[in-house]
Amino acid sequence: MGAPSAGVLQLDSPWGAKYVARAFPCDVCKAAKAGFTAMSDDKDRASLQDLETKLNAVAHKREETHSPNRATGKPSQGMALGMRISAEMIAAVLVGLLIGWALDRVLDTTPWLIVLFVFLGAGAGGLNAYRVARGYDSAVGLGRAMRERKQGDED
Amino acid sequence: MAGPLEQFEIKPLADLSVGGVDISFTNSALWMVIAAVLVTCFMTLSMRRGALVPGRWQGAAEVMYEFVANMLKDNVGSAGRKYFPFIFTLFMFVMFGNLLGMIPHSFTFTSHIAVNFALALVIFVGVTVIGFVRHGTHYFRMFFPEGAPIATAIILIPIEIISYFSRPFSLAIRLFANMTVGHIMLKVIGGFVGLIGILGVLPFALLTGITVLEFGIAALQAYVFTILTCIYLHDAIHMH
Repeated sequence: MGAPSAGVLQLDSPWGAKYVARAFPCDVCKAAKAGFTAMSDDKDRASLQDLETKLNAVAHKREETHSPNRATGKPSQGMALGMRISAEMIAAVLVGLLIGWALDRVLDTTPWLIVLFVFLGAGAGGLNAYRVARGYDSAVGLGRAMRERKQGDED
Repeated sequence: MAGPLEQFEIKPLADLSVGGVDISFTNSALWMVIAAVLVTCFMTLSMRRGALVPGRWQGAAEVMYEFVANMLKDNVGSAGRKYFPFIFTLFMFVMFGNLLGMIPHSFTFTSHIAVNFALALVIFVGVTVIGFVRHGTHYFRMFFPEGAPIATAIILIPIEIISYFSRPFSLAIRLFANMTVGHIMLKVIGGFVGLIGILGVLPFALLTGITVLEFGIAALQAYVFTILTCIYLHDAIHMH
């Protein structure tokens, strides 16, 4: 198995410097793809490149109009969503417990900080679960998620 | 009949110890190696010819590739392009781990929280480093929701910090819980089939359905693990 031979149109493959993620419409990818010499038939090549430019134009347009938006994703099926929410709640309480326990040990305040942080952890768990349920997904940065949502509503 | 939890037992295959630390090659490690080798073979062998019109294997490899590339593009945007190799490796490794676990008598390494937490920790540390490199101290802004009254900071900041640190835990626990629950369920219902004679047809039918469901969950959980990584990456890169 060697480097891809010239004369065959290649998708990107993990050999050498031409390795770029193909799905991203960008100058690097275009340059890389130009490096892959197209088929021997000139007519085929011309029509392929024509198609390529058309596809790139469409992809660029899509990239411009659809900036990354995550709130639009459909909620997953019940079981998976339930699992996600429960994992979210357990994890946050666990982290609160851990932080409280560690701080108690360091500051010698047993058991007050562990009590405080378990409650804070439960709060964080509730917040995370709320965010998952609302489709904001990211556990941090509600402000931005709200703004994205507002922008989405105005559209 | 083996108990439902015996399938998760870690058995050392070759005893190794370096400086008093037990690093034996276990059945878990064996299946991780198998997953890594299979992914590598799948991708390199099916892309070997790299034909313009893909055959079956190349088609499958391209579907995987484009699926992850599109996921990354939709969730992170163009800035995520350079993290593609990592995300793709992560997705393939977790998915092969989940699917290999469906082979009878194999071992599901993703059903162990140690494996998942190690993966999640790499993601968490990596994403945090990316965030601080790109935004400097401004990244601390993550811990206070925009637009909240300043007086609430004393409660909100600890909550947001806990929320942030719960990411690797929730990633790890979710994958672990899904895989473990599914495999226990298969084992328990499988146990009924032989026990109740002719009526065993009923749990057998149920088992068939659950097996299909488990294959779905194996793929879905790999997807969820990867997409959450993408979302965390998006937060670190774009912030506000």
